[in-house]
Amino acid sequence: MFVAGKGGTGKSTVTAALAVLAASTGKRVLCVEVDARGDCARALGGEPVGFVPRSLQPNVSVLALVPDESLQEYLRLYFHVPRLARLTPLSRVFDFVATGVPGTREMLVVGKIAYEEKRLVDGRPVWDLIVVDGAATGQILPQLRAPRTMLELARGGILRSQTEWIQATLTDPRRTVLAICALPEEMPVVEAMELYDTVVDDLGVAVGACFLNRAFPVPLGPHALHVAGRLRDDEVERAVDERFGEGTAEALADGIGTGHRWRDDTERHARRLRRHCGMSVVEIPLLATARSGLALTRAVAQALAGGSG
Amino acid sequence: MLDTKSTWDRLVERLAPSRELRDRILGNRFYQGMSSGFVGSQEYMAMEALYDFYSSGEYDCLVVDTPPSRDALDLLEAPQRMTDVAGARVLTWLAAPSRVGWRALNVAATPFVRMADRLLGGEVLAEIAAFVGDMQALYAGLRERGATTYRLLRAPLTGFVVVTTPEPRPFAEAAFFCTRLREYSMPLRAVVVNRVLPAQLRHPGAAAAARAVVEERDLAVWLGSLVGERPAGDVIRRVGEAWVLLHQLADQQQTQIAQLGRLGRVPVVQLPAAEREVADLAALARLAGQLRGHGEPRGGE
Repeated sequence: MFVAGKGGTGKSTVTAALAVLAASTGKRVLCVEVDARGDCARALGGEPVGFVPRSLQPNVSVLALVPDESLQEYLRLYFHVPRLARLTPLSRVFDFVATGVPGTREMLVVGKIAYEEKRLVDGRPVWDLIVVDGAATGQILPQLRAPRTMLELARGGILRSQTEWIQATLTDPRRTVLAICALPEEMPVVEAMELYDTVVDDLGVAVGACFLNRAFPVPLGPHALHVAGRLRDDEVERAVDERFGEGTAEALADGIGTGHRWRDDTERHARRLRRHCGMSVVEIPLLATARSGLALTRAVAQALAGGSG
Repeated sequence: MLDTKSTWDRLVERLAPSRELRDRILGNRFYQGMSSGFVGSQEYMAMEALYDFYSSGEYDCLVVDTPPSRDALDLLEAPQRMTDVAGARVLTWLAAPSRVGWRALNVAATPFVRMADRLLGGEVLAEIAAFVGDMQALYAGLRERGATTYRLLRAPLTGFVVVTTPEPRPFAEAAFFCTRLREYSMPLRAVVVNRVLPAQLRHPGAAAAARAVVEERDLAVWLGSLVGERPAGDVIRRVGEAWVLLHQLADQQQTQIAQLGRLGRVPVVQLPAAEREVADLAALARLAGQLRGHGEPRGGE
């Protein structure tokens, strides 16, 4: 499962929460960090990890993708090239070649993920679920498109057959789905809808879920606005302020207005997403009790488990 | 919107010593792949275009909207990195066979060539080698441009404005970025903290009232009858819950804002969370007014 969406929409937290949730049902889960920022590892209560999967929670391991190490592993596996030593200039050459040959770096990202998907130990898959904390939209699209680009470039040989297998993995809805993250705001929602179109129409990758993060959880309808209006009446204001202090009624009324707008945005954007993507939108409530790290991940996982969809 | 490929093309046209060489580079498949927008290339060309606009003298002020902060770092490092690439020995090594011809080379002798050949096919490699060979004539020019652009980024007339929200992760990113700017000696001029919830939400009386409404049924009934909301329980309780949640968020934002000193001693502007999204000119004008209204140095608070 690739988790994608505009930057700042909470991809890492959603990735970690999905992993924790799946692990709680006994699944062995691998989280893959695509940009080496360590956000996903931190969301699972650990320090940033490297290329070797590290277990951070029961049944949840995390690895960070490093194209250079991915290349070395690839060469070791398929060309029996021993690690390093005479390959020292390789990474610099690779850097340069990767700049020019479209999709090289991206291929190493999806290639490694597909390899982990296929990997067996004692005849059974190492992972039941792989959740990829995707890079921002600008990078995940080239990654998902890379195998196709490579198929145009490599007309034969090892690379072609390997790429065909990767492409088959990506476009098989039983094995690969994309989860889209958005916030109840204009730009993240527009980007989510565009991402949906490109992924489904152009790349042939299935979209499995749509998350609306930081949704305002308390329904505040016209009745709430009426309360706010009444709080501004002199008589009511005086009574409330007398009991709770100067300025209380006004502050309450303003806050109700803020909450009402936020809730209104949440409902409006959830509706847009639902209509566009033709699937239910899972709202992840705004949580004030936990702000980051494992505590937030657990709270989100709990909300996901309890919520509908 | 910057067009990476045409910026590259212009650069090659300007730096290539001959027409023939220029056409050969522009027609090279490897060059085409690189110039039509792969990672490092895009960042470098953004800087190149920026320098073009600057030296054209056509504008008094250039405002660059950078990608999110980690990628913005690539942008800043681009001129330097291009200079490195241009000087990299490794390229001369790659290019060497093009002078003697790939066939003349004992392929078995270099594991890299053998491997790359199996992986990509000889054609691609030959193309790369040709490209690297042709580009050598341009390296001096590229290096000079890179150095000039890098100087421009550190010049006193340049300014960086870091924009963040009062949330832990964006804030950590902003702090990281500010540190890097200092390391590069690139001038940080201001920090903008966007989407700050209204101070009203921290009103202690209102917080107490909202909590009481949620926790004490009597109080919910009292307020309900005061505002004439008949099914006193539900609406009043929800209003209380919403207010408590917003109050907690505003409090957390304040904790974050209290750490602004970590970003450096520069003017800090706090922008309120817009009532509606900034999606038209009127809203933009309001935002501009808010930016103008602030701006006095408040560093280190």
